[in-house]
Amino acid sequence: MKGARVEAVDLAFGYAGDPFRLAIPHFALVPGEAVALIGPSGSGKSTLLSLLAGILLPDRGRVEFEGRCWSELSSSARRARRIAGVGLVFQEFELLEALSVRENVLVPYHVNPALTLDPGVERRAREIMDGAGILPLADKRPRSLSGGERQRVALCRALVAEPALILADEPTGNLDHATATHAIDLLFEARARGATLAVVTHDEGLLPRFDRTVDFAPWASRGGVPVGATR
Amino acid sequence: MKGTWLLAWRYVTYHRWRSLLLCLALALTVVLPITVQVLVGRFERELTERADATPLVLGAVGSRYDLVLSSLYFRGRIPAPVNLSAAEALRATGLADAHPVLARNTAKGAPLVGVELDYFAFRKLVPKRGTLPQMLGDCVLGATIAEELGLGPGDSVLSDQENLYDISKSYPLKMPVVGVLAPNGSPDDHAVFSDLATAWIVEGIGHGHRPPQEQTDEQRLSTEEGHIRLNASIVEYNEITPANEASFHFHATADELPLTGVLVEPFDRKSRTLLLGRYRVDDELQLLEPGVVVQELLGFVFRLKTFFDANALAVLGATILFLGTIVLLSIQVRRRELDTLMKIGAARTTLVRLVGTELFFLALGGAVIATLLAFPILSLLLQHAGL
Repeated sequence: MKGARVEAVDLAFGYAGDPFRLAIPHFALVPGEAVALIGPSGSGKSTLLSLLAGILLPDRGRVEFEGRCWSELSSSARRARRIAGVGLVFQEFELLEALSVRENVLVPYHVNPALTLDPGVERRAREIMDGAGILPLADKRPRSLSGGERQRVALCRALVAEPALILADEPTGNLDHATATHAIDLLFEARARGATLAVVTHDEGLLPRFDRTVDFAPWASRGGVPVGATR
Repeated sequence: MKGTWLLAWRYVTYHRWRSLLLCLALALTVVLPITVQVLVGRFERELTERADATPLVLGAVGSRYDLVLSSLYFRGRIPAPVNLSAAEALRATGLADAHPVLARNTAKGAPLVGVELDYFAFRKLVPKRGTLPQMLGDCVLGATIAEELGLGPGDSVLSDQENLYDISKSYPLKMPVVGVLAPNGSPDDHAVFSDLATAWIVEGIGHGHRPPQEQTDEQRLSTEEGHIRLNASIVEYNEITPANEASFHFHATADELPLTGVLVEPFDRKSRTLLLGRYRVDDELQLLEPGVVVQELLGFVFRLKTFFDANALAVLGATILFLGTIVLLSIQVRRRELDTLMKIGAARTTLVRLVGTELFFLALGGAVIATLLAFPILSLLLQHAGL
């Protein structure tokens, strides 16, 4: 698998009616690298992940994914590229309670006509779940799982389509140290297979494992005041 | 597409109690109008078929509806009686066949209908078991009443006592069941039939007892020129047997033998027109076209049903609005889940399809429950309505 290149240039973004502003002169992820994104709460880390994934579009500037600017694509084309190339991991896991673990892992294939659920995909899902230690839980519902197990299901869901870019928003925020280490191991296994990895984290103990760390504080402001200034 | 069905099904079954409540709400909203629709349809069909199969009905002047309902359907208020002589006079015109009907009494709660044998041919009624009435006192049961009472040939039924405390009234008559009619989906299925004479005996117009000569002195009021007058203390036979059949007699003439109505079968169109014209100017008798009377009656029913339909429509509308509110609230509650699906690649149309499919499953569940509920409700209502 080849990792994805992502680049944000002269990027500015704000939510309507909110004094928060994100302004990034330049930020890039090179293929195969692992980057930790740190910064105080409210500094826009999750917003940047959404911008990098093409979920949000900037007010100004460009975000390019594999050489194509998200803003220049139609919403369906953006969705198709995101499905094919980006794996998202959320802090709150965001599992669907009505589905089993196996169905949660394969849910991208259930909601995207662009993805075909074939025996090869199901085999890969089993392997990923096996690697994450959740294969025995495949038929259980998320509510019967522990926090760590739920996060591993969310990680498997992000990895099942073998994305070139993995964006994880505080994937260890709700986990104890041992469970967090296991979750990060799973992400780095994907990185070892070539994926580009960007992880928002507050856990300073994990930072040495990344190629570099990017501090968000200088890029975010609230009502013209840098967010980092209040820290 | 398959994935959307799976996700919708999982969501509906995961929240099974909520889904069941919604299905029940939908089911109850549709089951009543559907049931009423079927019931009214059956009611209309039965009334119309019976009326269409009866060209004309002759009876005493009075309520048109009472005469038609009593003579054709053996229900409703008993109309003023018409006498046997009226039926004989009609036959004497040579314009029509006449089928007298006396339906003023009951046996085991079912209408006891006195008819002549040709009534069975007129209504195309044939015995499924046993025979038609052979002798005075015999009765045959309609298919449904026979099944309900669990009776058949060899059993017997008692006519119902009109008034338990009035000793001047006739005694209940024990009638042997000699046959059960094949079902024909009409009021005949719910009736007990005897010949006219038996029905008059049940009325108290005829009776049987030991010969006056054998009565005690206390029971003899007077003996004049061979006529013996007896008082009311004589014991009447309450069952007609070959041994006592000859003792049964009537204290009335044809002018005094009552009928509920006379079903009239004109020989041709001209005879029908002549008869209608002839009885139009009669002060004591009326000749009705049951089809016309039933259509009038159904007009009232349908006017009432229109209001009911409007009400059902309003309830359905309110339910749909409630359901819409629930769906909107549900979307609000599931906002985060739907956002997640969008982030991992679901198009907005996919989410609309997902919610639509969930609604489809709920509607399907509602329809299944409505169907399951409709059968017992309908059966109960049909039984209650005697249809």
